[in-house]
Amino acid sequence: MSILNQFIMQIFNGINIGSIYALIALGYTMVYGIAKLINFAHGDIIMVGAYVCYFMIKTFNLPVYVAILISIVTCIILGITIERVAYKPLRSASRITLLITAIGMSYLLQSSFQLMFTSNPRPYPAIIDLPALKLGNLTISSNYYITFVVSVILMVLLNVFIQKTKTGKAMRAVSEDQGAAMLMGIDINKTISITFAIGSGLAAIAGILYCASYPVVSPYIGSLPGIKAFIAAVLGGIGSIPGAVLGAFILGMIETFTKAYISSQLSDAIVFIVLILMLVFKPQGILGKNVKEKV
Amino acid sequence: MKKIFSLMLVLLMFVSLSACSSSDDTGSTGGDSTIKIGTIGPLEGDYSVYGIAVRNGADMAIKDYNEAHGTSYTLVAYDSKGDSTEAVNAYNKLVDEDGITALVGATLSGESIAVASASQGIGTPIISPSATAADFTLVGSNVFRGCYTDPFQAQVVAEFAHDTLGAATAAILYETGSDYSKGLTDTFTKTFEGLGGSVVITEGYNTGDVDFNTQLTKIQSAGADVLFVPNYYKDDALISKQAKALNITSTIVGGDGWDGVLSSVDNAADVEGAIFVNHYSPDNATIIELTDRYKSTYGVDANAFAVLSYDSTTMLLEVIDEVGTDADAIIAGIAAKKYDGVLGHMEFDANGDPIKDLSYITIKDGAYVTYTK
Repeated sequence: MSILNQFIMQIFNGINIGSIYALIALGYTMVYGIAKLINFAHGDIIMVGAYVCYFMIKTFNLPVYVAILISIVTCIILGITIERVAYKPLRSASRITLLITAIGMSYLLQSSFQLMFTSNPRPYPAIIDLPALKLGNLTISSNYYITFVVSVILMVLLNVFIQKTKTGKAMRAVSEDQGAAMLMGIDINKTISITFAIGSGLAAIAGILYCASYPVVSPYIGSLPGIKAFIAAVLGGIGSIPGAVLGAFILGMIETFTKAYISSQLSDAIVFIVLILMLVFKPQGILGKNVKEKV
Repeated sequence: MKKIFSLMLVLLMFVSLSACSSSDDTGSTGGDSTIKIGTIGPLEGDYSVYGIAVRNGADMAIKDYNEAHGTSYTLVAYDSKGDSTEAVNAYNKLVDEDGITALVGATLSGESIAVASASQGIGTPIISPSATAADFTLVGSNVFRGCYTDPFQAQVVAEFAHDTLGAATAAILYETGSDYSKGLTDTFTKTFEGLGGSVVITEGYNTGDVDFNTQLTKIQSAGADVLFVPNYYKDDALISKQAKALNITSTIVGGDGWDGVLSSVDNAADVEGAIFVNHYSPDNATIIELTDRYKSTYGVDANAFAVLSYDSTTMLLEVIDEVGTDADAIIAGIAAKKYDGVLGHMEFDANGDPIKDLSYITIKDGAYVTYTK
């Protein structure tokens, strides 16, 4: 493979990792934007989505699309339940209380899945069975383009949903000022539930695509991509939907090119250095709004 | 609120009381005729396949031995979660509370070195069926192992790649945070280049990584004859699959961390053709009998660690029967032992490392078979 071909292939590698981070970051950023909560359990909902899909295919022999649908629905129910049980009673509590609860929720999900299904990694069945794309002498595996297309489509749909629909408007209103939104007749509980439902549904899709690319599922698969996606969301401007996707692709590219041309050991260190630099010089992120707090 | 609090206090008192009395119990029963053998390994987590295999192998060996010789050895197993600190805690518990005579373990190299270091001054006879790191037996004279070492297997793989496969160039993809992986990489490189071959590219990855496409893209452009993948089975499975997707044609070779890889892939074609060295050949009749019995008893496939653990434990029990339960006597007994078990003949060198044979295994049509050219 020539140097140019290798370079192009590395770009595709970066886009692939970026797409997966993007799918996860979408859920993070949306929940943050509307509920002002960094939902650390998001990474573990990914894991739940992946497990549900796994059992639907392996144990119940359901067709792939039915399994995906059941997995999405399960995650939506789980997301709403988590919000109702763990976050809603604390809505008026301080941010830090909510954050700690979210971390607790994350461990609860991990540990209960470990108890139920052991921590042994299970091989994941092939979900995407499409031919690889041939571009000249480059082969792009089907996981690559499917993940990319799905993440871009979902980003666009989500953006349209939030900007154009009535529910989307309600979400934006809740995000700006909960009290005022309530006075205007917006059902805050319903709006926040919908937010969690969408976020968790996205997590299920992310989990399934993640396991399709890296076909092993264990109770811990959600934590590392969860953290990376969180960084992506911060990088792009947490709360901003195009920002999350942009941040994710930038992160994927940085990771890939560090591994490819600097050092495969330093990639994580460089990712975190970029995050720190970002927080120092532009704390609101690339596409984030600069909100000045009135003192 | 106060009521709940006082209730909890009372409960706590009960718990601590019962804890006291139960430890008294074990103190008094510790003196009677059962001899306890301890084992430590990751019984949950990413490496649980190894820890469970070591525990089950030791369990089966003790049951078989008790049945054949009318003895009453018992096994006490603790989980290390693959963590060195947990392993040392487990060791202390085995020595202080359970009063073990000897230890079969620990399982992974890192935790075994930690346990061996902790045993200095106590002098428990230790034989790990699976700790392959060279440093492990150098910790003390009470430390033995039942498997060959990392440098030894890496050297054998390098010689095999160069001489048998006729490879002139090699690529390596290893886990930078793992002693096992790093140790194998170093010795492989040294041996392979010493034989006149050249290692054209060495790429690393971080513990927990699942995406190896970037490194593999570089490896593909390097176009080496063999790709040495000295990692544990879960990563090996992901690496092979991604390498196949990138059309890498190099023959993939690896060490004993590959054992169990078939349990980690959905489609066996992902690892087809990979060759690794292991502690036994899968087509030996004695071992097939043992592994079948193992599978029907424990419900999981036996891997090399299970068989190694079985062999090491049986040898240990033989030595205890010969020399008694005195720690120093057992240590001297193991050092002088010439043992013939299911894995063939085994004796120990001055470090406590075994002198024994090993086998080449390849994956063909979704099964482990002995490699033939």
